[in-house]
Amino acid sequence: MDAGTLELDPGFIDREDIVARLHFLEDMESRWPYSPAKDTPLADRIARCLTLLPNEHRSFALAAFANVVYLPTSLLTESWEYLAHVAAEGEGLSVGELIESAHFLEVDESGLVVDFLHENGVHGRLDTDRFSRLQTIDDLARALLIVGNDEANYKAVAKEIQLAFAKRYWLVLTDNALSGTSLKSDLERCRRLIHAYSELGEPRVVPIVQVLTSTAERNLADEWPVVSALRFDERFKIEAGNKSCTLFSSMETLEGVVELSRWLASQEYFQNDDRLLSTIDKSGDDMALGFKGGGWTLVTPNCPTNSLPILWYVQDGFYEGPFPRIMSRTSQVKGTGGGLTDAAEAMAPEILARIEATCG
Amino acid sequence: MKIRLKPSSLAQILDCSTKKPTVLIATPNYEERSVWFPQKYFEGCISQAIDPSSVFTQFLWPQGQVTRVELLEQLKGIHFAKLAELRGRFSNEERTPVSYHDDFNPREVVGIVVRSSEAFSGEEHNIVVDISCMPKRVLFSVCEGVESIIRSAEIADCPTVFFVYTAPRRYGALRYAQNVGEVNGLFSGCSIRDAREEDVSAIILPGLQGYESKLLYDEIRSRVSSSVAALIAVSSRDYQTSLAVMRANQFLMERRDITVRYYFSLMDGVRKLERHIQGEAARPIREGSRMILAAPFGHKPFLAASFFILRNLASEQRIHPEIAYVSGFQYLSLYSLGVSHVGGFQLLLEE
Repeated sequence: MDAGTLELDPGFIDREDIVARLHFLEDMESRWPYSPAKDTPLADRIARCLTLLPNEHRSFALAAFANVVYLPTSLLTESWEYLAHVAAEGEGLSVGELIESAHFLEVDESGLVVDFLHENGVHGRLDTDRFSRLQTIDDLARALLIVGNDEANYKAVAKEIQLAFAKRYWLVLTDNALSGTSLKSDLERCRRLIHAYSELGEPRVVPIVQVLTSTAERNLADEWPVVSALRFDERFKIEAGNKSCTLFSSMETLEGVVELSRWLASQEYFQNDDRLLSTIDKSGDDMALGFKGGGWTLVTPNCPTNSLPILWYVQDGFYEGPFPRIMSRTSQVKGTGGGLTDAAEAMAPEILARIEATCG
Repeated sequence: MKIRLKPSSLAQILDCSTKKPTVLIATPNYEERSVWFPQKYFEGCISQAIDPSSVFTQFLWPQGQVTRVELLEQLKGIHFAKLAELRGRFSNEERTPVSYHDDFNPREVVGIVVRSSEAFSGEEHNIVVDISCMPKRVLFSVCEGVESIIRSAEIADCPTVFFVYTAPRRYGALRYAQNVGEVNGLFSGCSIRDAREEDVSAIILPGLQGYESKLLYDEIRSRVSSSVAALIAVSSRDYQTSLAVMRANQFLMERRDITVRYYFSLMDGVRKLERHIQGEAARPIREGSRMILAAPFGHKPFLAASFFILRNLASEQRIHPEIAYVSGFQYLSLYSLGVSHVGGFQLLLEE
């Protein structure tokens, strides 16, 4: 990167320790590449991003990029073994005992259950007599509705449901709980189904999270004690006036990064981006600091929307954040999960009778 | 006899202390955390009405001639005074000066540990070692002492041994590392450079200062066959400290011939360390012998863990276990501030 052509202030670069921090990030990223960036080196992505920014924001962009907390897949995957031990110790069990007495669910289908079982050396994950394959709360609700509505196919499904409810624990796995919204919604749906189908068993729900923030922790409150591997608090949060933030050497830099974030969110491209409309709507703000005002600089294998959009937002030729995100949700159509749970809850007496008749 | 490590807590140690007499070995110094565990332990003993005569306290008191710094000695006194009132209720206590770090004599420490255990000779008892502020060479000798007690007893008569560690709230600014020297092996007492093995398998647990990992890497990379792995702490409580360690050891990321793995807690790290060492010991050896070298440059519990994990390999043919040690004494600055949490492990003996 040529600081001269970008009119960067060497004093600022020194004060914020930008060279060493970016170099560290570069090393991390070249060892464990950020896959959505498609092999473009980090230095090139940052240089490209800076050239697209008005001059007054460039230094602050650089300060924000230098303070990215990069959490590659290899690091996160290694947390599963730790999490299994912590969860098992919490229940006074060995890891093997916990796994055999648990049904596994994941928030959003993403293969976390398979990773968890592999990392903990569990053989026979496809054994249908040991592990139910209903691995999201939507799967579970859909399966219950099949028992209620599908005359032809309900018998095999009924057995899977019985297996899931017969376990002592439901371990709900998620990679990130940054605002806590999705996790909390799934946990509450678990609770409603367990309540409605308590005749089949009353498993205890244990949320297991790789990356947790203090925001999510507050959102989940004492109601859902979470087992987590990494916890990030206000020290890592970018927000106007956050005196606890330790990412930068001065409040001026923090405010500069906030200003830059506001600048991006105020641009028409950003505000009218079809891919973002539903997320902005759910966020309840302009998303300048990320979904629900996240303000994080966390970069996971697909940079989360709770992190600053200046990191992940891409609109060709207008702005290209160095950690482009593959959007998980772009449609305006609302999810059907809540409706499935409502329906499964409402039909509980009929469905329970059928399961009873099928499985005894 | 194999020695395994199992997590333990203060509550568990107190519970054992209600059943059997206990020898507590600790090294109070100028850091707040150095007296934290003894203080909590004594308070627990009082609240559980444990008979004072069933606790023998051995405070090792490292004293250097060359490195004596009056200001730090005074801080030591202040922390030690905090224990005074509690200690008064446990009369059978010794404070034994240990020459450190100049004129250090490892056998002297082994002897102190063995003699301390004899306070309850012929009785079933516990040994609790607070390693929070124990210098690493002293800790290695304490491990040797503990091992000799264990190995000279029948399994049924072995004392129950706990190692406890109080983590600091944060580390002070590290300045002016002194006495930085070459990489030595604690088992052999010789420089790693002089080791005859051409087949070296090293696992580095990096520390805050970074230079130790690079020194070690430079020593062994020229061997005919060497493999280097790094086990890096990612603290679930304090990612900033983890980041500081990662940045200090950035070259570990740069070198593609180094395998990098992560751990999230003391016991997670111990499990991964043990598995790695066992895996390396099981790999076929082409010729000669293989040095399996643990390099616990970070948290002290990993030195004790490495000691016992490697000792389990002692009977393996053609395997030479070793622990790397680089001096870098911080006697011109405070090392840590405040107290975060207490962790530890118990040694379990298996036939």
